[in-house]
Amino acid sequence: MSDLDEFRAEVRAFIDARAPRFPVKAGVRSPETEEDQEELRRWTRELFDAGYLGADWPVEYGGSGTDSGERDQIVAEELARAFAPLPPGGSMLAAAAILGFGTAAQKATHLPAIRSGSEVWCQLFSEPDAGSDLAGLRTRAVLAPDGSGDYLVTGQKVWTTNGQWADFGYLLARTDPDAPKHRGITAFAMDMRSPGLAVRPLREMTGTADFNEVFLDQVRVPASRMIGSPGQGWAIANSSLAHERSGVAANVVTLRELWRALWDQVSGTNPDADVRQRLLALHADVEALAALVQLGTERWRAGVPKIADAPMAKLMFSEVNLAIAETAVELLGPDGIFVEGDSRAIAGGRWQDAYLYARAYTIAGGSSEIMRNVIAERGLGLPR
Amino acid sequence: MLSLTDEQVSLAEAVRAWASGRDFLAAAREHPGAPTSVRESAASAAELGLLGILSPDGGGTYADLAVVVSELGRAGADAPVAEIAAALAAFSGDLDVAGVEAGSTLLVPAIANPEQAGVEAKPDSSGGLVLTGRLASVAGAGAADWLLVAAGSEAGPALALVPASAAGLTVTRRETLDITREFSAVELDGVVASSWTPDDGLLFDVLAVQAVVDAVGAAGALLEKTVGYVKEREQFGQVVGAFQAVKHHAATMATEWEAAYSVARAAALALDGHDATVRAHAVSVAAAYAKPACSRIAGTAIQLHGGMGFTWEHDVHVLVRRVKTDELVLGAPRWHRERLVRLLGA
Repeated sequence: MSDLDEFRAEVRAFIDARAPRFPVKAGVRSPETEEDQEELRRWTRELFDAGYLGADWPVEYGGSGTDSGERDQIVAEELARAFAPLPPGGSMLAAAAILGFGTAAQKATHLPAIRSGSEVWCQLFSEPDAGSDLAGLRTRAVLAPDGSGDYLVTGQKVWTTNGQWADFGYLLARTDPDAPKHRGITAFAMDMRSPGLAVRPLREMTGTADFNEVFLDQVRVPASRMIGSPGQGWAIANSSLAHERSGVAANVVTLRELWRALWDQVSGTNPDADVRQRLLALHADVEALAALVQLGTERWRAGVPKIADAPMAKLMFSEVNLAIAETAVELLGPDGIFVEGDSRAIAGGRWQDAYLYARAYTIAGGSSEIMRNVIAERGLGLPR
Repeated sequence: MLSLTDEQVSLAEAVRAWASGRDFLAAAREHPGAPTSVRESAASAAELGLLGILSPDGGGTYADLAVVVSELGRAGADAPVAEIAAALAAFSGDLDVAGVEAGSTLLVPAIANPEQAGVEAKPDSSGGLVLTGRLASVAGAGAADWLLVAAGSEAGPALALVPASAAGLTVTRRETLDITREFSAVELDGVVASSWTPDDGLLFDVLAVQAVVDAVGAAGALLEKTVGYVKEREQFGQVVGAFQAVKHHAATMATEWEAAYSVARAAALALDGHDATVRAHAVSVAAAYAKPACSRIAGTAIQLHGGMGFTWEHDVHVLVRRVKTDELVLGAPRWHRERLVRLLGA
């Protein structure tokens, strides 16, 4: 076995032994209870302590200071394979922003807390009127009139995963309304327990509340909680999002497992040729996506990524995921109507959940239509 | 690694330069489905070392050959260059290797599409095989001097070498969708082959991948032509590529092409591996995804070229025909999906 194979086996055994066992649900979901939330904090801490998260962090913050790209990918893949809960995405994103742009004091305060799971972060980016057009965000941060240097933040955020559990929010707010829209944005670390801040769970079409709305009314943020400098927020957000790359490879594993579960379920029922054909076409779609992601990852590691690599992977993943879920529900026939909680539900209702949740992928993080625009305009050079 | 090596990048550039000096698409319109320069093209490809690329002296891999095939598909090349190289590598019996590598003696594989009946072989008294059967379409058979016939026998599959002039062998040119290449029916009625070797199944997988990679090459040319066209063609006072409907078509083409290219490359690399099951899976996955994907790309290429693309004089339809032909030969997508069912053990 190669070193990486050994590492993979070690990670797999660790996940089998230590991961919380939440019911299998599609996508990125919020813990439903306080106990689950505590389990997630413990799990986050154990992943960091084992060196499976944050290995690329500087040594003084507990990392090994190595370029851990391949190992990060293996950890992400193994978590996906086991359908194990992921550490809070907001925490990982905020850590990347603080590592890249934070002050020494911010690093000393937040990085150990993120590692230990004592600080859970959410992402405060999207707004009701700034979804695909994120740079159009309107939440304002203005200097407090008392001369303290603090900012007062007013506006509304939405699609906030873990908002109800988070201790801090990684906030993008407009500090300069007169600047070009990408230049007037600043990043902050927002204490989620601040006066004037209200979190309201947002129930989605899945029936669960995995996102939240966050209302901000003159919420005070000390200047010391600004990440980077004024107007640097857009660049910081893009830089920290680039760290999500390992998640793309993990998505491939998720789809492989999803397809395999569907195949195992259907292949025992003596499927006719048309059903076999449809399922194997989906298998080929998944493997073609895997190859596309592999080639894109190779280019990224070699320092020569193409601008359309990530949007293509996102687009194809979302669409293939949707197709698998739609096919699964359709093939269940009349029993396809039964959902989680009904005794007739097949596989605990996971296919209905996957079917409903699949639209989160085709819409969130840049909808499929936005991905096609980006691919056409920035990848192929068609006029904007 | 799916990324090309530096040597493969150079190889692709060399083949592209070679092909760009020959307007295969114009020639195809001139003599549809009956290329007149096959021997000349083969001899010229031989000078580049392409026919013997898999020989010990050539030092190439199947992945290298796929790089060549992609360029041949892109250009709509007329000669069965990759087929010759694959036949040479598959056959270790008595053969004029030097003549074939030089392009002076044309040898092509004669192998059944897997959906169709193939050739049956019976042993004769002197250790040879007697071949009987009918192959509906064999690429390049019309110009070939020798055929490497894949045949089933009681002793297992075999590859049997026969001269095109053998008694009992009839080659009949067919009219096909593809106008860049020649396809012929090959009928064998008790043809005696004195030279043969066992067939381990690799040749079929090699040719199946070549059909996929050829389609990817041609679809890549169609994607480039289409993107170029929609950047120039103006309607309603702007280039049509500014319309979002057109952008979304182009983005879908580009994404599907990237996936088709990547999965075809993975299959080409698997041809050089040692595990026949892994190889078969990679080949059929690539065929199942990339064949229909390339046909969709080709269809959209016509659509985005508008009326221009519908004309005989335009290059687009010539490549569309080649892509669709590649989809259907050596295992249509439906056959490859069924093979995946068997490989996954349903």
